[in-house]
Amino acid sequence: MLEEVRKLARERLMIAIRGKGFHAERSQPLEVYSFVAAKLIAAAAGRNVLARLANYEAKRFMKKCQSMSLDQLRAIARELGIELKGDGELWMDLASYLRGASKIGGARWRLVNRVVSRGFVLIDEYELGRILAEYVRENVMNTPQVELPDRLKRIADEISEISSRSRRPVDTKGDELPPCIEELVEKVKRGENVSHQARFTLASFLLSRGWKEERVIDLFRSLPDFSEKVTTYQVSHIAKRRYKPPSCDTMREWGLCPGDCGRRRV
Amino acid sequence: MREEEGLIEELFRSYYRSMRGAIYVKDVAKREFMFRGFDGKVRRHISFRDLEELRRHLIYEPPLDAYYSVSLYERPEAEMEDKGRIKADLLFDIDSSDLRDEGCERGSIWRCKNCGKSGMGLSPQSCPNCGSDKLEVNHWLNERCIEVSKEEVRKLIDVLTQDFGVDPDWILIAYTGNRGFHVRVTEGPLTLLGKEERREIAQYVMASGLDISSFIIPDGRGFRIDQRNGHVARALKYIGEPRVSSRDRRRMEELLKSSIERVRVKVDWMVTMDTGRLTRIPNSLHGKTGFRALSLTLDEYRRMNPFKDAIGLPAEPEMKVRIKMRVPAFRMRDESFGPYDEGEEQVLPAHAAVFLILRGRADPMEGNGLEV
Repeated sequence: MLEEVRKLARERLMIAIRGKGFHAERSQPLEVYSFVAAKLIAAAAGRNVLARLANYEAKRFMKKCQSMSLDQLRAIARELGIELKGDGELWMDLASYLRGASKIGGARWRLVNRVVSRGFVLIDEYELGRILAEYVRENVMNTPQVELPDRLKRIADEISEISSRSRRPVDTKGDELPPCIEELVEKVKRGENVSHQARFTLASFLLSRGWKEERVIDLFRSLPDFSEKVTTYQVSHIAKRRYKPPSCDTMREWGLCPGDCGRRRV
Repeated sequence: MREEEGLIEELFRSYYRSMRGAIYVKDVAKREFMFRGFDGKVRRHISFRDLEELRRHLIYEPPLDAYYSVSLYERPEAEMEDKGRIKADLLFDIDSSDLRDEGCERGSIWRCKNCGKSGMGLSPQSCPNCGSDKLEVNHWLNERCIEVSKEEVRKLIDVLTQDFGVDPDWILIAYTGNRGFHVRVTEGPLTLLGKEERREIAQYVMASGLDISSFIIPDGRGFRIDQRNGHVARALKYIGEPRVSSRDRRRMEELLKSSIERVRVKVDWMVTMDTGRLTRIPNSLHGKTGFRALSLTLDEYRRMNPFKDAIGLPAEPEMKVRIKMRVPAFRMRDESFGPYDEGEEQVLPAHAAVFLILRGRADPMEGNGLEV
């Protein structure tokens, strides 16, 4: 059993780093143990690996949601301390909604564009799954670093080695960046998952500052869901069309403005 | 320190001595404190074991301004990263300076730092003389400032209770002692929110980034408006008719937009986002007015008039001041003062004299006694 757990944990991590596909579903105990083992290994292998695994598990959860009934989703939500109510309609308690949705990009997720009443937010079934997936991501990201037994330690070293090969460190010292861009750069470097809007902002801003496409793509290599093909396409598209970076107002609307910096535009 | 300024410090001290029982901060040992002293120095990351220690400190070293953290910390005296936040009140800052109301700003004086041009009333966005946007404003404070701020408080309370489901018992309203209010949610799940979540809350309250089209739903040959969103529903009260034909859609969106401008709450969103913020100690004195920061109930705030209810300093002794910036007419404790012109000398009750000095409109003159 232990051997199988280690094997599946390693498989999860390998696919997570590759960023494509999912492992074949095994028995429940094996799934659970290997999930925990993969988290501990990833935490030891570094922030970037952990972010990759978090993204993998969140995506995998989303996929599993498609075959789950609403009742099953409700049960999972209850387990996580999320309060749901409503017959026919689905309402989630405000604090739980914010915990998940504040990490998701896009105007539709902003609280201001929601029906909010008496401490509850109106959502649909798809959105419930999407918010729960953010809880999965958070769960993985909060894994503590612990001393690992030798065999797990070896996997951690191996994974860390493979993952660092696919990254190319980008030096941003010397670039005078406004605080909102600085914050995004740091988040991306830490391997955090940032929204589509945040990525667009970064690419359009850095290109307008004279960064070469290659350098922008290298920065994005730390993203937990980095895909060479997609990123290359997007970045060169932004470069070709010379998209302007968003205005401060738009940044605020997207939830990307960390606070008044005295500048009028990014 | 000059003797005349020492007098104001003495007035603050005797206030804190006689009011020591009214100084109360919940969970005092877990809060961070910050003081701005009469020497102008700001000191942060201070902690107290209990209320008595805090009260003694206020008497021993009376501050111009006294603040405590909205957060509870494991180690309140540590640097920001090491404090260990347990939870934080959800804080909203309503300041009439942000509301740009003409009546409230009637007595304010602005001055261009570039060319020196100055004027009275609502400050322009840029200097009409040289075009510079470096304007400094000496704000005045009048009843109108309090009225417009109260209206924002009222709207905020509606959002908090109706939309966010906050129990009214968890809401704390505080008059800052100057031109605005702090509203706090002190209990419940919202006190556990992080920075990103608080940003969402602030933007909701301000209706910032609100996309009207999210609430307009196709319905038969026309459109229907989802009235269950708080802002949209409140805005509709100004309009009526929630069903529109397709032709009228654009007009409806315009109408809604302008009504939302009336129902949105103007708060300082950066304050709400920041769990490291500080708020004034209830019943402490404000260093720009000498008024008391007051904790108010949901009923009290409506009736509160700072020129009657928040005056912290006594009328005695009388003080001699020289006016250095024009002062509009004002009332304090039902006594009328002013208007005064630049250069005038006046003998005023202590609370009125200190009010003018702290606002930067008058200087104390020699010959003010120290017998308090």
